[in-house]
Amino acid sequence: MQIDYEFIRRALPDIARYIPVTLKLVVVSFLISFPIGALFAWINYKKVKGLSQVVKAYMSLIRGTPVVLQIYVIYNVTPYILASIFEKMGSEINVYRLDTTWYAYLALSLSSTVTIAEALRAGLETVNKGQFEAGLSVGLSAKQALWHIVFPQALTTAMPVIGNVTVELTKATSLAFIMAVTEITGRAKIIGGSVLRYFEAYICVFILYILIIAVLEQLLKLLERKISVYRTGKHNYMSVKAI
Amino acid sequence: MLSVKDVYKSFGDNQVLKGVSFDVGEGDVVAVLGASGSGKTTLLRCLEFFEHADKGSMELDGLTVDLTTHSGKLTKQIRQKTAFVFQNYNLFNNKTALENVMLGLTVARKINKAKAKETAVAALTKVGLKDRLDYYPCELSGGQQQRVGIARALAVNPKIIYFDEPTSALDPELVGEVLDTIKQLAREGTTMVVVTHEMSFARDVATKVIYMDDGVILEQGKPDKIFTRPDNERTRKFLARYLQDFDYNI
Amino acid sequence: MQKITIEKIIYYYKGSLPALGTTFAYVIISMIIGTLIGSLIYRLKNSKYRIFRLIASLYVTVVRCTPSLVMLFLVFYGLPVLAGGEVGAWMEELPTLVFVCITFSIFIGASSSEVIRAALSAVPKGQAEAGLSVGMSNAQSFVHILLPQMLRNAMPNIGNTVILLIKEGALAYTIGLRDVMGQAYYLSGREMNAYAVSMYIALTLIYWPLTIILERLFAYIEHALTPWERKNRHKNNDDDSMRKRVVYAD
Repeated sequence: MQIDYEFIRRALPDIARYIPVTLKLVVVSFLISFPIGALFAWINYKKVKGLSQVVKAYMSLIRGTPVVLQIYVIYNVTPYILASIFEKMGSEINVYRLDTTWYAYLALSLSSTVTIAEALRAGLETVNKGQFEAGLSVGLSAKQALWHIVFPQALTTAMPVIGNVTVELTKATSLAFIMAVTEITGRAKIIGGSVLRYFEAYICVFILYILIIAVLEQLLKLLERKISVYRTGKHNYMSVKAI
Repeated sequence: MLSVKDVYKSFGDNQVLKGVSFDVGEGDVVAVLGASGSGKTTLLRCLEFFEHADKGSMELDGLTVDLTTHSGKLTKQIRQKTAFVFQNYNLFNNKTALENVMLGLTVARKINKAKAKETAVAALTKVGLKDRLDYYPCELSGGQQQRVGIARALAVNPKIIYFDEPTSALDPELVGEVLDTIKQLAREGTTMVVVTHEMSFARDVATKVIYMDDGVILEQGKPDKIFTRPDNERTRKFLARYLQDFDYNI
Repeated sequence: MQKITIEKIIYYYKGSLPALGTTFAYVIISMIIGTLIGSLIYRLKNSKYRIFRLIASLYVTVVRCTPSLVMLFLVFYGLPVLAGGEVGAWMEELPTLVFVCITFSIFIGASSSEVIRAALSAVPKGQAEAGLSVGMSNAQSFVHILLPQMLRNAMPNIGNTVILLIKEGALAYTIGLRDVMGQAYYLSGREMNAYAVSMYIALTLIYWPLTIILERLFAYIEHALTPWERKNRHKNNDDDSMRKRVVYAD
């Protein structure tokens, strides 16, 4: 068998049409996992009684099981649970008609929630206690001191890991086809399968992922620089070549 | 014993050694003095082939070597005749005091374990650490670590030991124990080259003092001569500053 | 909702557990080959030649940007095509396990080059020099001094990688590998997935404890590998002797 370059040439634009689906999976899953991750981080940082044990158990479970398994459970079990809940509430909503993409968002955000929670907690712990006290000393309330002083610093420390989470999340979207979501990998599987040109189809996906992630990493770099400006300084005289 | 000729070394544009030559006789204790950045440490590191000199040669114990050589065989041959005591001790972190001292014997020189252990214990006893044989470096104080470093150097029975500012990294109260150990070696006739800032040590123990300034040897000779009537104005100024501090310390 | 029965959970648990052998097989093989590739990539990254450095960083970037599943498919469907002809035909007959090992070796090759760099840079530079100073060769100094310390530095990463591999390997059921996941999937398929939920529970009961056990195991190995970091071994000995100046025996 030879590589069919013509197939690649035709398939690439076809598969590329599904990039928005992939991106939407990344963005929505991230938007779900960030606030929940932040909440978990706070619970663990404050060691909230009862809750922190629950969060820890959840994190251990997610870290301890393969993502595919999590996907299967979410995809095959949640509809039943939702259906029985809706039934009890007497609701008319038919969960089996629900767009499967929602299960994908949920399933993909499980792991990133855990990593974000871990990173933010570690970030919180590195913020010097004096920073909070200094906030109080100039008359900020505890909430204000946290919001304006502590959180931004914790976020900066956590930023590299959060950037990583985004990259990992992007790669994980390749599993969404298991949940009948047609994103780029799913599309490649379909058109590759139709003429038994799997290899060529996956080469297209391979190229697209590299492009997507390369762009993503550049964006993350910009964001990181912007967020950590207080560390590196705007007026970086250190970068002036020493004589 | 050791004869060093015309060593040049630069890092990028920065010329650190500009033609350094000196001789060390058997049983000599040579103290190398000089301000920070005068090239003392680099000189020592070139002699041990941690840095490759741009030019220069040395003759040690009948073996003449070009200091620019990259030959693994030659450098190993020279290193088998020498030992080095580091400023920050550089004990092998993953080995106990005893293993630190034994490794040069068992691995580098293929001496059998029992014999090596005997030698190592003797060396550690000499530096007063007989009761710390199975301690890891992190369990020892700085002074103790440096004494293990000295024992490690002694054990391989070198022709010459190089000391690179052996007390600079130590807390002031620990300097004495290490200097005492080096003094004891001097009394026993060990040949040593000691880069140091300890003026009293240089004055009382060294048989020869070398004063370096900006990559060259400005002056060398007997300690009485250098410390009392140095020929060079810059040597005088340097010593005046240090000896003043030294006097205050008393 | 499907009925969940203890019997079915036990059935899937017992049925899938033996497949752990396959899981460990690809983990161990990929770790070994991957580390070899990683060492090579590390060497290339530090090469004198720009082209080699470029190749190495290209490799790492490309691999890092590729989802495991896509890489798995590329290797599984692609290698026979790329090889072509008789070799390709021969490759198509190879067991799935081979393709899984190749895929993960490629991944570990990229990540381990970074782990090696970090592990090596965490060992102080003086450690190697100290090894040379007692007369060891570069290779001896690497084996006895650097490697043990690197291994310790890399241990947390090695542990993480192994756990990650076990979980990522679950993807390989898509190309028909019978690891734990694949075996359970196969068994469930024979029953038209009528007891899928019981299967999920059984799988969770295999993977979750396994991860926790491995985490503990690697923490223990790290501890066991590093006697030199246990500060309190000599707690019963006189504590303040660390600070006291020791009076010499002679």
